[in-house]
Amino acid sequence: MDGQLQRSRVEDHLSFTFENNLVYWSGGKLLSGLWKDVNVKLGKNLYWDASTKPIDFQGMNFSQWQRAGKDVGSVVANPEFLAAEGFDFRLEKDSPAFRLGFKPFDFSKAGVYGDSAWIKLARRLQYPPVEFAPEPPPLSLREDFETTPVGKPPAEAHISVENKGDSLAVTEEIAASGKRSLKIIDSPGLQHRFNPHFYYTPRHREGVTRCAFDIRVEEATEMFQEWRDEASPYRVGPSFSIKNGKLSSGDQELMTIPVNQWVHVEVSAALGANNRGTWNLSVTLPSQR
Amino acid sequence: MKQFNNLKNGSVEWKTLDWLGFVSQADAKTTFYMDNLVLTNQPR
Repeated sequence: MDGQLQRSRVEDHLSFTFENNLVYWSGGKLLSGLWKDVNVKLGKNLYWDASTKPIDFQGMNFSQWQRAGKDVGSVVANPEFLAAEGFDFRLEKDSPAFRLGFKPFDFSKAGVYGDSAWIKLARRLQYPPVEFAPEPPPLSLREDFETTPVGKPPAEAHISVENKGDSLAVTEEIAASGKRSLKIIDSPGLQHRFNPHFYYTPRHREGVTRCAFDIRVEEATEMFQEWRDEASPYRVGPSFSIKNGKLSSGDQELMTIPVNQWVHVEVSAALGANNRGTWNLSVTLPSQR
Repeated sequence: MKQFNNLKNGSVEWKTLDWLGFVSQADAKTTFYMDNLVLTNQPR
């Protein structure tokens, strides 16, 4: 599991309700997966990261998260356990959990019940030490969209569209090679200017990362590619934009991008301690291929 | 090929890649296409 709470399948109805819980952990993410849609309901929960780092709510702080309609009645507060480090999760009398209506229970009474022989048998069971799965390997991609069905988004990507004239799906209308490419259609009047967008979660920590792709823009295209870390608020590494046929990074205009032609872009950067605050970009125009 | 080296990161503190995104932020009816997306991570 990538966070304290993980939501996997997003369904087209209210499929996940999470209320009246105390979530206490030390370090790492609270929410993993997709939690922003209306078909998940959270409320009257208490969250506390004992590392005291700011908690990331899907790219928002807690105030923004609640203004978005999430976690009504929830709080970010120390629950005041008697001794959490010793796994004593009884609550102090002035715990904010009580103000949420949380009703403590005697967890020492949980478990096997019945006659003494039965309970004795259960107590003989020796649990093996907890082992966590190793970190997944860094994500690598080689996506030519040829195996993705037309009309569908790439399976490994996280997709955000509003379906108000915008879309993000594989097409056979045009391709840099093979038959298929990914078509991203923007539309005026969307709720969020950052839609449509798609992203991956590579988890690259060290070494050198390279991201290459072919892109074909129109005159009105306004897009950006960005690399971020998992801090809250996130910090940006390599980033560039294309607007009005101009490719820029920060406030530096780098070059003109021809419209309605495939252009090859490569971005690379060292990670971890070897990153010196810079990155490299190469752009190959159609005439140079 | 045009090469641009030592472009500055958005933040001096950025060290790890946890989110790689492609965002269309036009406020107009417009389209762009992408193909042959490759992402690799190699030891230095």
